[in-house]
Amino acid sequence: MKSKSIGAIVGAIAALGIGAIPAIAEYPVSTVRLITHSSPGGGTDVFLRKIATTLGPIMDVNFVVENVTGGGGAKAMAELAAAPKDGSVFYGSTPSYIITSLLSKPEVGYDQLDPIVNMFYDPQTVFVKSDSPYQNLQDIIEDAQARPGEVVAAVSTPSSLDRQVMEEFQAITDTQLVTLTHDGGGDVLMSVLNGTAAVGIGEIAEMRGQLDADAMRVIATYTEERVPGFDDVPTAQEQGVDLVVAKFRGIVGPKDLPPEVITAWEEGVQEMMTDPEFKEWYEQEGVQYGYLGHDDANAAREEFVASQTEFFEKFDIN
Amino acid sequence: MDGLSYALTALTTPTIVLSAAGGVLWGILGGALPGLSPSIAMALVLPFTFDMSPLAAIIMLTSVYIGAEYGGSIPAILIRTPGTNAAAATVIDGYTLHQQGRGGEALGLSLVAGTIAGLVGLICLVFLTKPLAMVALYFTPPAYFALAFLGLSIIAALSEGSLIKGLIMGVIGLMLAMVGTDPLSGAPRFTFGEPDLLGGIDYIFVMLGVFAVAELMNKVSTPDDGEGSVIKNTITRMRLPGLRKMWELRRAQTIGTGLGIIEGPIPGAGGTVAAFLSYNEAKRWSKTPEKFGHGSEEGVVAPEAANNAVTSSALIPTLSFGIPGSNSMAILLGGLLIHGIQPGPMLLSNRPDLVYGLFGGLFMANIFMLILGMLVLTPCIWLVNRPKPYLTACIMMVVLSGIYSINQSLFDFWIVLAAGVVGYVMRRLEFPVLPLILGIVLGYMIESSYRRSLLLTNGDHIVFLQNPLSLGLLCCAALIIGLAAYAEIRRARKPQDMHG
Amino acid sequence: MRATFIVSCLLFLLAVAYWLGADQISVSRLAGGVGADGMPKLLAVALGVLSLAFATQTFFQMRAKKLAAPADPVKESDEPANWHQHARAMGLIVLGGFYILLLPHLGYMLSSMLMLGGVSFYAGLKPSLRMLAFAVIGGVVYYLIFTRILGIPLPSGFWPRLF
Repeated sequence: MKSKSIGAIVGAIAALGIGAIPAIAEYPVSTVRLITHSSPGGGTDVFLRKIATTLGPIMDVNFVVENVTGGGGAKAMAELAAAPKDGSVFYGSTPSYIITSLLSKPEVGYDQLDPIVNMFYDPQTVFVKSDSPYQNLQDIIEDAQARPGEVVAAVSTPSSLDRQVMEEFQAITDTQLVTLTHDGGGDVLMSVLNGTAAVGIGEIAEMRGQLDADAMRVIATYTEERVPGFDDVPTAQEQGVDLVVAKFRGIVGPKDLPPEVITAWEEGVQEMMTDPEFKEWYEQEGVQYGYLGHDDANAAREEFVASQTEFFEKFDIN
Repeated sequence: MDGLSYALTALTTPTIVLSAAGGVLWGILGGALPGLSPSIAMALVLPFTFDMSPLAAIIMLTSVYIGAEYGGSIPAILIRTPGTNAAAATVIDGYTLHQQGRGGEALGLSLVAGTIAGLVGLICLVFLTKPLAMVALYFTPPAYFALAFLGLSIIAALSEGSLIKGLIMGVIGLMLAMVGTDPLSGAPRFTFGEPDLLGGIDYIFVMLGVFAVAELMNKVSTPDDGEGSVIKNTITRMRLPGLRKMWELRRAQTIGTGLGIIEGPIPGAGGTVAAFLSYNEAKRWSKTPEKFGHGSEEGVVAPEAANNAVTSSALIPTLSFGIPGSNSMAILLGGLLIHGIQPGPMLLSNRPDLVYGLFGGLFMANIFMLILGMLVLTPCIWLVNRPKPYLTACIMMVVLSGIYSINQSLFDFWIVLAAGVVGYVMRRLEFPVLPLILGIVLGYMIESSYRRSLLLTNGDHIVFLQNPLSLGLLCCAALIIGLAAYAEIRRARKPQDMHG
Repeated sequence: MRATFIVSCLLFLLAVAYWLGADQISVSRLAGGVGADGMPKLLAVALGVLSLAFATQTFFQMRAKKLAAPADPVKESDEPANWHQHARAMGLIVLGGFYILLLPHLGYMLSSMLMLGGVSFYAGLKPSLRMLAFAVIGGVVYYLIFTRILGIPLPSGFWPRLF
């Protein structure tokens, strides 16, 4: 949720991953701060804490998770850019830091930071209440064509990828829906549950409780392939809507880090991704494997920035 | 009854009793330190709960929450400094009572009122979870707008005698709430390129400034002679109200408890709105409304009952939908997820031991709040009875320490000092403070829900009248404004009548 | 009275400035029908109207008072004493400002000692060994509470570089 509605609040905490087991390579510093702009308990925060406890022993480093909230990541970016370039500070990234850079144009933007590794993709899904008449995307499209400007779709924050997905969906299918923005993923669920919105866009992790109780159904995923655990849910592409969203999760650092720091991260993260207990955790979380090393992550970011810029221009934003 | 046995098991497990007691104590201390919000107090213990059993962890986190919501009222009463957002409404009459030498009574009232409200809230949580969860679901954007509007309408009632000054302060509060990123487009507003302002101005900074710093400025403006005298009205010790007293105050207690329980499950509304609304309602239904603002016991009981009742019912959306309604609840959810527990509709059937155990834990937490509250108050009272120069220095330092936890930014200290100057000027010119607080607290909610509502109907305002809940709340707001305007006109006429 | 009148004029200026600021907010199609500048502009207008009404009200009250009692010598002589009080009150803010400026350099413990000593002196305590002890012990206690127990990363200043 955004600042005001539930208080801008929330500061620093330390979660420790205590290093004990021998490391792959000697890491130059013993304590590493992982910054997130999400508040404690939020998506990226939980994800970083899990990484801290799993990757800590592998890299023989104490990870401390720190919440630098505010400004859609602008403050966290500013803090990271000002941090020492010795591998002691990193930022748990989602696409929002790039979107914030492009939309709010803060002093320190994404181009002053360096993607180190990518780890996962968060599958974006289309979901409805379980008693909804919609069974697939085609039903939504037909309804939206019959009642232009009346079908309400709930998305999270205004500058989120969900929002953009909805705009592109309308352009591709030549329909007109109402895109209702919220303060965060939890509010989106609430809007779908109470019938304010007919469909919602969101991540699996957030609606796990509702899915388990059969209160909600996933009817499509914007992924290349079907999501593990949701094998009977066809992708949007399969349903004739050519839309794939790569919502990545990774680690971003300051520019010009020593190469051995980057290598240590690449090796450490690769080892962590093979850990069976960790694998079980992230599949339960509903995220997909998406490891990219330093060079690939940079290339992926360039691609993402290009598509974002194109989107903003196409939709006349800013 | 299985549920009862689960609750009893929790009540008799030493580690769980200990985590409830420890949580409450930590919460009271955290809440009492201005700037440390309940969510930060919870976040600080979160890492320690990782190694506990899931039940002990969740009980500890909720106990911190309960303790912190109570703790905020201690500095509100003793040093005119709300420790938490929700305690802002307690400042008015609580601190006035303290200045009248009745601080001990005010503290006792707030503790007992809070405990009763917490226990009643717990009973509602146990037996009325389903209907209360429905309350959360009824709140669509138009209803949120109407709720925020109802909150703002209190300005008319709280700025007696100088409606125009109250309205000015309310507008300024709303203006401050506009600072930060726009809720719909994400565009920066009034940030002057300052990244610290992108997230908006946190209302605790403004509260600390206009209440605490302004009070200190007022104190130092008249120099003290020599070693410094102890504040005139020294209070000796906390005094718990008797049964008869509580019976006398039953109306305020009921209003506060009821409003708190209803507001708790509404995501985003929280204890602050509940506290202000119940302060206003208690005043309306009071037999002695003229006492409000001049040291009314009901003026302490109502908001304190409200913000403690919220602590129980706020758990409902988190437990029954897996959707946190506030930062504090987001941390609780995080704590559960780390233990691999997925709150949501299935929680009760999957983990009845956890849910009923939590109920048992909440019961303990409320009892511990009463016991530990009494223990903590004695040193607190000793502290505020120190000579004025020491006390002034200590309060100033507390204000300029705790808030660093919110953003780790020195910029926030400047905001507090600036708010202090504003608060001092307001005081000298007799501008009411509460409208400013209401404006800044409700600004985000009123704007975002208004604009979202209009999205639903492509800009047609009929949306606010179509929704029955929104219509009902707007009617209440109209009633409050109408009554206040009527009272204002009558007051304005009165002197003329006497002359003529 | 006069101060109130001045304040209402200042509030009107604030309203104008707020409107100009609201006009600077970038327009985007995502903002919806009302727009990001809609509410701020509404507030600017509201404050403008209210401050003018307030100024008018005060003005008439001032005139009424003047008619009732043409000269008010007591009030006149009262003013300087008041200003002295206000200046003293502002002094606390100045002290706070120094603290904020020193904090990143001197570190939390030392700054809080200075602040405790400074404010208690300013509030009327005579410098003495007791005051020194209060400031030093107080600073340590604050440091222990906020930095050690609560773990708030308050600035440590130049100290880490010494060791």
